[in-house]
Amino acid sequence: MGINLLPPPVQKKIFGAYYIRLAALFFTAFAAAVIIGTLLFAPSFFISRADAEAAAQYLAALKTGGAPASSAETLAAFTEEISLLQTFARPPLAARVLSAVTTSLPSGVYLSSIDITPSDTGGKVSLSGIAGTRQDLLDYTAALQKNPLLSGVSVPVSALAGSRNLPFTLAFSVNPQSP
Amino acid sequence: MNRFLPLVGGFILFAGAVAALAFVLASVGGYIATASEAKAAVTSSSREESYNEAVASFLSDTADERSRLSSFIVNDAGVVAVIQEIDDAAKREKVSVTIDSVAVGASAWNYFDPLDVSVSATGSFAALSAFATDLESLPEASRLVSFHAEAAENKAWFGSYRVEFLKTKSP
Repeated sequence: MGINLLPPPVQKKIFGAYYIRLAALFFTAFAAAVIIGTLLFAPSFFISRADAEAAAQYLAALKTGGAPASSAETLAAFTEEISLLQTFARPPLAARVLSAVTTSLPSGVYLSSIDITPSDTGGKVSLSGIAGTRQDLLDYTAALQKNPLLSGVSVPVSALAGSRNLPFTLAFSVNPQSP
Repeated sequence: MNRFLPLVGGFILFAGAVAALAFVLASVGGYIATASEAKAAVTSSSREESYNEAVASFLSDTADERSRLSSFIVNDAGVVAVIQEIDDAAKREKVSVTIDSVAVGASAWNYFDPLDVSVSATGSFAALSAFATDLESLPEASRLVSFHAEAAENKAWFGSYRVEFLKTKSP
């Protein structure tokens, strides 16, 4: 190991200059490494930029060429039409009910009014009339009860109070599932 | 002072290089994110495009069927024909009819309205029954909402009917 014969201030000055140059060298070397890294990223920079621009342009082109709104409108109208036509496709009910309540009418029973309110679930019927005797009314009620088209037919017990020419009202439902 | 110049120069060069790298990395990251979002949107838009093409194709393929179905629905111009049909049915069944009202009802439908027609009729019970059957069998999309019949004088009956037709909304 050699002996440094230079005076300490000179030694200090030389060491200081040495470290400054060393630090400058490191900064320069790091800068060079970073610049090289930056240059290596340059292709990625240009490729990704081109990719993003191309995708954005394609998207813009797709948006300008959209389907006409009238198609969606027509489809919505058609969907509603089909749905409503299904609800309107109700089999004739009044004719079957009228046939049912008149064919089983005993000779002693006369109808004075009929109300039929058809619905998707069958409907309601109300009959009013006059029965000659209690038995006529019971026979008529029994005949209606046997008809599978009608449901909920019950004997109007309050109408049985009289003995002859009994005014009555019958209210019942229609069973649309019956054959 | 001159002895610090290489250090300052090296530092400035280093700082500039780091800034440039940071800029490049941030830009690449941004472009990748933009491209990913655009590609996702393109995929979604392509799906939408396919759907629209399918809708257009469906509407084209079913044009005849849709036209046939639409012929069952009354439009503004067809209201008179509907009333005429009711009159014709009344004549056929030998009942005397009066059209009490023709009105467009309220509904929650978007493209159609209910057209309510109220009819009064006088005739025999059999004729009123046959007329009710006719009203339930009209060629248009319609339904008998209510039927009421009551005995009148001289074995005649009085009937009232309410029929609902499906009608396209007026423009």
